[in-house]
Amino acid sequence: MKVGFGTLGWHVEYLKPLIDEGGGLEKIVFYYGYVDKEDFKEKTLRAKKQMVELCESFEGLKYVPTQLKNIFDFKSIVRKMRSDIELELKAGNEVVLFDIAGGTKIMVAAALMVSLFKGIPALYYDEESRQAVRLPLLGMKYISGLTPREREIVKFVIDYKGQAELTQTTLAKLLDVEKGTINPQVLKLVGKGVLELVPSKDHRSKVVKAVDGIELLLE
Amino acid sequence: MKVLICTTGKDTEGIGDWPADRTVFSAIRLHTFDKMVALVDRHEAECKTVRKLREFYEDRPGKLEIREMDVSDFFRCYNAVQEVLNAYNGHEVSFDISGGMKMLSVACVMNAFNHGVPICHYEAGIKTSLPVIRGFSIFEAYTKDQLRIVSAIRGEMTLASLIKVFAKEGLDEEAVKDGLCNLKKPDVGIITSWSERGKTKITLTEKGVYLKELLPKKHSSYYRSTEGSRAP
Repeated sequence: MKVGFGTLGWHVEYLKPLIDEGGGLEKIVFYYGYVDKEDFKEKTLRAKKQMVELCESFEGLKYVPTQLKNIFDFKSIVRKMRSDIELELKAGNEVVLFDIAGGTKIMVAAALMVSLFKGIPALYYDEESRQAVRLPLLGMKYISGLTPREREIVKFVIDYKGQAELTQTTLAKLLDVEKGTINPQVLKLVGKGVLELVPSKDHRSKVVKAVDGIELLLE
Repeated sequence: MKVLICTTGKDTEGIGDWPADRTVFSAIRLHTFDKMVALVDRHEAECKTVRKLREFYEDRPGKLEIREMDVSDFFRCYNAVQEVLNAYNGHEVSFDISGGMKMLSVACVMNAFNHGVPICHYEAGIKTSLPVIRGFSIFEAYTKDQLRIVSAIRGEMTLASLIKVFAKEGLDEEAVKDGLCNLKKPDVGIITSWSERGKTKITLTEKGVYLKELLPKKHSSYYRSTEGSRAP
């Protein structure tokens, strides 16, 4: 089954190209959400209703409106989109297109990141020219930006649940290496924007932490 | 130098919270430079962040820069952003995509992922940093010669004519064939080739066309800077 994904904001026009460009889609999964402001909610739900009506006008087209709990929470949106795509792929379906034009910028950025890393062609509706543009996505192996050893260290830091604060000394001990070995590796990862060094509770040393959201690149 | 590239619209919420040595406001095609300045001025009275920024920068010439961007289509927009990044090559650059039109923000996000540039967003009181590996470059997966080959292929070409093109530029036949061989590998999938009337023909795959679109353009100019010169 050919499946298309999309993000919906206030205007159903932004999602129409998904159907036009999808090449015989059999199922559409689209994301929407709103904040607790009356006009925001009303406009979003109106667009959702229009999208449902549009999908129903195509015989046999399945659709799954998916409400996002927080349209500004990048991590939860990426995870939701990824797990939905993986479910489709596991079911033997083909994800052919992701229309990323609608919704908040965070929804769009999340959809773009998911498309980019999964190698799913993305579509953007240019409101000015009123044309759909296919975005150049290359199925990036983003994780190749880290060496296997660096990935190991980052994963360890992310998964660390120990009581003691994770200083570079503790990290060296837990990884069974010399402190002199781990220090330059940690600094390199700080330079790559993957780890950060923050003051410990007593402000006497630095604690190694993974930068917020970086786990999304390793999952 | 810390450089912050901001997509600028009516709403400049949050910009002042990301301090930098230089802040680049990216204005869109529809605004001339003067209109853009007027836009900033007009909102000065309403936006605390802009006022804060202008107070901060007024005694520091060159700290605030406005660039007029061409957003007539997505690729021009993408290249305009890429040109700004190139202009600040070697500096600590980051994006703030809080304001402005979505196309410009999408172009910034794509550039951020393709070139490993940190990116922030501020909306509804929530600051978000998108995860990137700083310094990552999408082009690192390819050698310089391979990128030259991608750049040189136009439509369908014979292998012989491609070799001829590069002979003039000092790249020998073996190097061209070697580059093509790697670009044809199934997991790379940039070029496809076939035989026609005894000649080997080549063309870019869809992925290859995309890669070509992303390559920095040598002589393009998709933005106009307030500074008059591109390099800081």
